[in-house]
Amino acid sequence: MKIREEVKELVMRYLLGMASVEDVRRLERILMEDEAVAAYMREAAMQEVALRNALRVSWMVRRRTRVRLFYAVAAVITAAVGVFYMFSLSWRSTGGAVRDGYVATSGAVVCRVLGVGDGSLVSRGGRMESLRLGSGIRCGDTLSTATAVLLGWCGEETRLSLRGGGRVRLLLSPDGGKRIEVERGTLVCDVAPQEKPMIVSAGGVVVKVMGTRFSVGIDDEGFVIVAVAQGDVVVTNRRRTVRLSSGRRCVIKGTVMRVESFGGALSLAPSFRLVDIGTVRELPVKGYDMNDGGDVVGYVGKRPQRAFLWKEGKLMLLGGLGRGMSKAYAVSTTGYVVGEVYSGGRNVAFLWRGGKARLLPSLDAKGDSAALAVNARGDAAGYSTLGRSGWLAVVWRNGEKPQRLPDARALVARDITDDGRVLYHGTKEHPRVCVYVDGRTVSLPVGDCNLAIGNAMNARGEVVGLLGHVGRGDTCATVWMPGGGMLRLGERVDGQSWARDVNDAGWVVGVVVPSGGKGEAYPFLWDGKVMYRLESLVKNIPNEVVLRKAVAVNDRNWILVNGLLKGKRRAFLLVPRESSVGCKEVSHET
Amino acid sequence: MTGDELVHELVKQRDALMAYILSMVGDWNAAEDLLQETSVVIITKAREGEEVRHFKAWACGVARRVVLEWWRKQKRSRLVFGEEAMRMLENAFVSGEEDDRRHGGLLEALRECLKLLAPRAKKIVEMFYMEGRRIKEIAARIGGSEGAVQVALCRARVKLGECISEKMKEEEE
Repeated sequence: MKIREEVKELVMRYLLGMASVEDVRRLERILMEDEAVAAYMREAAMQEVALRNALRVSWMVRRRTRVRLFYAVAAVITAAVGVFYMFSLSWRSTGGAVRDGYVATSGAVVCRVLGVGDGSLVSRGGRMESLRLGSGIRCGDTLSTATAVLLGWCGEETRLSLRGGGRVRLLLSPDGGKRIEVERGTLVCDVAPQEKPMIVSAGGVVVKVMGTRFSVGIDDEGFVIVAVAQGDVVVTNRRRTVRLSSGRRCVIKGTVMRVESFGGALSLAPSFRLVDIGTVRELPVKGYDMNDGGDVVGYVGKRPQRAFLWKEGKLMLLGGLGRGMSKAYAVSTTGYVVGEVYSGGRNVAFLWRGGKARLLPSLDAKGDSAALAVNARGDAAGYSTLGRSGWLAVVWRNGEKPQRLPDARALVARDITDDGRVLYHGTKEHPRVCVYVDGRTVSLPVGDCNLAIGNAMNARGEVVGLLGHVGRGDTCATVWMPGGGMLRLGERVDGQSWARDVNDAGWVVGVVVPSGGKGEAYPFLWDGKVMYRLESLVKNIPNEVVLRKAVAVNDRNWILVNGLLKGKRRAFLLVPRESSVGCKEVSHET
Repeated sequence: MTGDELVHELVKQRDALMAYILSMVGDWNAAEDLLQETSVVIITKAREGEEVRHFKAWACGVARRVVLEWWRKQKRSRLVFGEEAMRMLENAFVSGEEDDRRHGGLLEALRECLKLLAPRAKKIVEMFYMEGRRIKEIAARIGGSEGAVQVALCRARVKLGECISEKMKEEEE
């Protein structure tokens, strides 16, 4: 291809953003007449991108060296100034002599991602990455999202929620003050008390805040809307400055500012309060399941463990199961409880209701069995051993003889719905996750994974569990959709993850184990759009409480989480802040 | 192509997509924003289970629609090509060969090619690309009119591009 020098320069002028209207029109004409110019333009544009990336890297390396040198000189000067102050100006306060936050302006981590939805990206130094739960956001980063992102400012309770279609840039001013530029969409802020005003700007409007809950949004027409839910903020546009108090909002376009009442509340993300379900005789507690009424089952103690039911704020051991080991694994909305109990030298599945327990028959009179799920009718699902064949998935209907599922490779039946659908999974040699319904089996996709477990199923037919490979440490929380789609929730986190339960609204709970020993396991919540670190949705968690694994979520959006209280195993309920529950909330005094 | 494959492909083809958008809008900053927006659309579609056979063609189509939407929102105040010219560019990008040149080799070639530029041209290139200075600032610093700096930069950039292409070809051979 032979392109005239003059055309090459024209292309270059255009790509460098220096072309005039005439240049663009001329280039367009040439482009339409000669295909070679389009190819040259492609080549030049590709080169421009590569060049800018390469030169930026080179420049950053050079600048970093210069910055290091600068800091070395600054450290010497600061030390000298400090000595000077100590000896000659001791009567004056030296607070603020050293500008705090200065280091942060060079790209320190300022926020952590506490909730992340699909299509959430961070743009950093010209490169772009998908956001993950727990990722650090640096000063100067630009975030955008198609759904939602929840951020927590490092070292304080400030939370920022960027709504779908939004884009913001996070900055620190040289004096350490926070500055957020809303380029598009809405940002809801819950700002903890600040030493220096935090500034949020959008479309030429500046909002100053010392600690409050408010939102700043900019719509497609360029209208900036500032709404205050708590406290007050100072809003400035090109012409006016107004103080906006709680329940008021202002709509700004150019120099026009209209202040009006604002009735709605601003919500950043789901919010919970923490309820300790208590214990007996200070024994460790492990929760397994919760029904829609908020009743919790599990076990307390160690050797022997004893099955318990927590109901209306009281924890009681299940009667009728003897004094040996017993564990309760599931509770239905109608009060049926199932689990396993040590009886006659083996573990046997049991069904309990209203203080009466009965052992469920096993496939083999000498074999073990356990019931892991129960529906409103009292039908239970679980496993039973038969001779040397190991575990076999079974269903007990009306407490009668266990029925094997038609699939000979079915290892464990993990869930049973009120309309009789059974969720089961297979072995690592025969990995599968299946739903048995009306006499037929529906297999869910597991790809090439040899670790495939379905843990729960909701009324909509969504199944949650995990997929991975044995020994590879790549276990990934997974949601199987009724239409055949699959959502790998675990891709939003660094580490392994398991999904344990799903409610009818599609909320999924589970646990994340960070990779490479980067911290302890933590519970997560997926609300159908955004994946959150659960503890970030609970305000004022006492220091002595650690949340580890979310194991159940009911249709009232209550979540059962296992964790630690003062180092001892304990189960907690996370109750949406607007709900009430008849027991005490865990507070700092606990 | 599954959702995950789409996201992997997006990461792989990011620079090509950026180049395509840049060639459509002729403004680096706007192109960066539009690339981010295009990526959000692609990831959302990937999650929704969009069926894609040829990623590059599909992604270029998405980028073109994002640019047209942006142009509409800008009330056509910015300079941009007509849809037909955009399609010509799209064809060039979709049918173009994969360019797997990476920063390492490019940086080497760039260092050598920068030495071949006249000192004034080299200074202009460094100030524009590495220090991110505007033409006005460069003109004020090195003396001369903005027009002269623009012309010098464009010529230097053309020379640099040709030199880098040659060096990279030599390296491949």
